Amino acid sequence: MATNLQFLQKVTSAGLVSSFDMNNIFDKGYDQYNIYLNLIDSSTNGGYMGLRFFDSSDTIISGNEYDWAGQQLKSYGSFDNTWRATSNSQIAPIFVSTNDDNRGGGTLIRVFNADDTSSYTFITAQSSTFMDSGLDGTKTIGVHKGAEKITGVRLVSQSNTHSLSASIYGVK
Amino acid sequence: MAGSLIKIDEEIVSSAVASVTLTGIDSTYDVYMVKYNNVTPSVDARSISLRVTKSGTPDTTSNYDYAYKVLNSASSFGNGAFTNDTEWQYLVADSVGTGTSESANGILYLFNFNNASEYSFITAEVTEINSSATARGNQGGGVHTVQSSSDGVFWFDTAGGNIASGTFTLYGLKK
Repeated sequence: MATNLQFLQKVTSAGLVSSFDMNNIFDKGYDQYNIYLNLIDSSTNGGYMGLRFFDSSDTIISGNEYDWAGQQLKSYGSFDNTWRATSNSQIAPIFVSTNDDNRGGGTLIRVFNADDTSSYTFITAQSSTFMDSGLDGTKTIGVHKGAEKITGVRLVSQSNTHSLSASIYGVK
Repeated sequence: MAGSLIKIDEEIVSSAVASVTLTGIDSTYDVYMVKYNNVTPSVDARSISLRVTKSGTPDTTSNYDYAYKVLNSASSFGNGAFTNDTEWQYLVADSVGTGTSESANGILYLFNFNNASEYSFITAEVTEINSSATARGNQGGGVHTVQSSSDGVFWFDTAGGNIASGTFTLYGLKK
């Protein structure tokens, strides 16, 4: 029997990858999904990761259809309030400043209205990672400005590669 | 077999209403969660406000403090900070429009609501398209500074308009 927080599936990358695809994880009848992302390792220090959606044909949406804004919180310095864009090709940052010494990190991505063919799809994301300088975190919001069903997520590494695992839940 | 996130109350608004009340908070759980999506006002550029309820009645006293960071995709980020307000006015849905696909979505966590010796606290994670058709979202929290138990949350337009649409769901986190 399905519960109100229902585990759906787990997806794990094949080692260090530049794109991490979670196909057909939505369209399960929920109006909100949670993606708990474990960052296992990175190829190099630094960088960040962005997010794109797959449409109902499982085609990646890479056009300039995303608005987003995020704050980068740092234990070692001033916060960065410059992460924002309209009509962009992705939502970012999902996390920033990872480490190549296998120190890990985590992100929670909440996705709203993915199954709804007549609504935009919204996200919130918050992360905690560690770079040589210290602890980094992000609080990010974003939206895909297209009224269509979304079926999956691609996470794109910007300047390095990452090994990741994700657990996806539906909330009803 | 029931999981650990237990649905308690849900209101689905498909035609305009003056307010929405989610009830059912008691000693069964220590922490409650509210999920809301596709929330829109009937009047353009309105904020949907939140009050706690005491025995089912919204508390209208000047005992609401709240603070948040405004993440804005189209302009510089801002801060909101209020003390002794009569509601949590901008925290959960801020200047949402009536245009196509303009709506507010978010998650609230409710702490200590049932504890008669403590204040009632909330955290908010919001993502919306505002009346300027751009993405923004307030991230922060609030407190009702009265040592008494609260049994629900009440949603309304402070300026007197209606809530046109939205799904509002209250959950308890099993302890």
